[in-house]
Amino acid sequence: MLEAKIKSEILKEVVEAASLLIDEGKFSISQDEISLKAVDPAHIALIELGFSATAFDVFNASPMELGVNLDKLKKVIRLASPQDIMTLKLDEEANRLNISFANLSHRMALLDSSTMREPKTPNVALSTKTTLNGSDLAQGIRAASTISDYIILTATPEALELSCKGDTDAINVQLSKDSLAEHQCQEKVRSLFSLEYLSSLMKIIKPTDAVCLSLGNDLPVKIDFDIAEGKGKVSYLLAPRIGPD
Amino acid sequence: MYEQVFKNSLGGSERCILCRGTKLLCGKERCPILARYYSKTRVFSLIDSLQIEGASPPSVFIGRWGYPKVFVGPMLPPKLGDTSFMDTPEEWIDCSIDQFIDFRSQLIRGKYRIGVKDVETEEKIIQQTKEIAFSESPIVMDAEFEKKPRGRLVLSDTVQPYGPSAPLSKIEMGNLKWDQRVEKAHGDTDLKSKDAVFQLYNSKMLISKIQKAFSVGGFGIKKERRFVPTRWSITAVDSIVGQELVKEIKEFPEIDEYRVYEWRNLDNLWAVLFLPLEWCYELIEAWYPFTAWNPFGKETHIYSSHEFWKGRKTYAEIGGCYYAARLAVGETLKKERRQAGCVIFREVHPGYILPVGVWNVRENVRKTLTTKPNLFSSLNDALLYISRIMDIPVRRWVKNSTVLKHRIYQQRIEDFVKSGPNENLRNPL
Repeated sequence: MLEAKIKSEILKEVVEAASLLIDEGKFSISQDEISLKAVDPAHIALIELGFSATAFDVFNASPMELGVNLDKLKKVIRLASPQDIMTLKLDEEANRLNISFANLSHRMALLDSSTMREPKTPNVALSTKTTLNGSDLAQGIRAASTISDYIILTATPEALELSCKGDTDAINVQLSKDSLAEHQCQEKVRSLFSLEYLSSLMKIIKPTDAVCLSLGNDLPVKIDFDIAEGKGKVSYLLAPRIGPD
Repeated sequence: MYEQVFKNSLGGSERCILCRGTKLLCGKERCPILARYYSKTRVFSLIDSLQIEGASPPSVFIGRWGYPKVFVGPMLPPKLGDTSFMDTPEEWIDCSIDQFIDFRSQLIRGKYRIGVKDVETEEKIIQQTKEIAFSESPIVMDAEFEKKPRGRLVLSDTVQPYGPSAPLSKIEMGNLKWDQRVEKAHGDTDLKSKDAVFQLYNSKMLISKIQKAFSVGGFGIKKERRFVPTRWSITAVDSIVGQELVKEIKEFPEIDEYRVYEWRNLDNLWAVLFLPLEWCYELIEAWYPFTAWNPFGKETHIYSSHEFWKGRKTYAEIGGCYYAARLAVGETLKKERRQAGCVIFREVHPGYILPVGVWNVRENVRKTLTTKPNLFSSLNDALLYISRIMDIPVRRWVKNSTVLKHRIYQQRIEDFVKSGPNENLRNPL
């Protein structure tokens, strides 16, 4: 059983986060939370997202898994205006999710979630933790993408550094400890990442968001932030590139 | 002299490999490389008449100069009988260059200028040209020209060569039978051309036949139909079919091992590497000095185009051959119902002096993939094997390969699930 009402802009945030990496996804629904875990087809990034039942105006659900075509769902949500309240209702017999808002209703066929494998979460010990503004991270990533496909993230006890080298140019963004909301780092660590993934991640991080970033040496970066007005959490893990910068 | 012109106009022949006579990146009115070949070929004078009787294979040619007003018309040799071989690239793989040039240069191209959108015009020559493109077998015809057919072998990187041409004034031909599958797709004016092409492909129709019907605006939503220059239509069909095949194979499980297929033809050396990965694809070509598109170079030039899971948004840098080879790869994987990453290595050795058309790439990759592959359990071993069969050192291939570099240097999430990064992949060389 699933019957829920939610503001379209909140649902939009959640679905856009999930569809960063995948076109089809499996939402796990419990009585007080909806969550999703997925890796992209190239197995380079992993996203875990969860949002609480309190993000909904109405939420009545029994535990279940829901296979959803995220592309289709995104298109439906785009038809709504941000303040529209969307009603989601599961039609178990027809295996459909009925979505209605304003005077539109969409009966969306669900996917077989039993064939969607859940990825294993790596257990990596990341030694640093930095909290910074979404806008600072976005600026560094935008700057780097003008000259390269990769970015080096370095943490020292004094600062967080975003840098890259192109064929002829180099870019370096220094965020000193004082300018950061939080910065824990004992010794220097450094990893290299694909900008393609980070740039697309920035589409769902707002400039004012507090972003928590954890690093290691040639280890994945973990990026945590809140969505859905603080009622949802995203944890994003991106595997590094190891080798020539 | 051409060498001089060429050297003055370019900063080396790198640009030639990217242009291949199509974009005229050097700013010249004619491609100096093609001009050099033309200067060496004999002028044809086998036709000394305004009228030719012959059996069209069937074959049509749509030019691209002057677009959207282009020359459209059939091609026919001055001989009768079963000529179908002359325009069926699927059957040419065992031909030598000389045989190939010999029969292609007998094809005379009739020209009639028409706006590309005028596919439904009443003009008889245009209607006849369309029918020829739809025919399932050779058609005996009498073609009358305004002038005597002139010219010599016409070469291009995409289009297979053909012989002299002349403006057409009249065609007389017997009844012909349309291919039923084409007739059906042609009659459906609500069917998108993309869907028509893939349907015909799935009905086992030859790519070259689909391409002919496509080039005369045979498919698509009625008001969108138009003539498509032969050169563009070849790549359009390769690209459409490849794209649809890739869409299907992305649903299949990944292969279990590394495979290397190898093949040599027309002084081209081919190696195809399949990786047990999600779909990604790259074609890397190494042009030796004194080859068709690197005639005066001092060193081997290597160029590549690639796509990852999401595909490309722009036209491949290396041109139509990228799409022709992708089709062949997609075909093989679909047959197996498996998914893989694929890197194709092509060495073009000095015996390959003439551009013959992308059919050569499509058919050779197809052929390569019918050979028995060598299987390997690691990328390292597969690359070592490739270093033994190819001339170019594997380091240089890797340096020029986005897909290989990505596989070697980019870690994956599962590499960290158990015990940190996968040591095996860090340094395969």
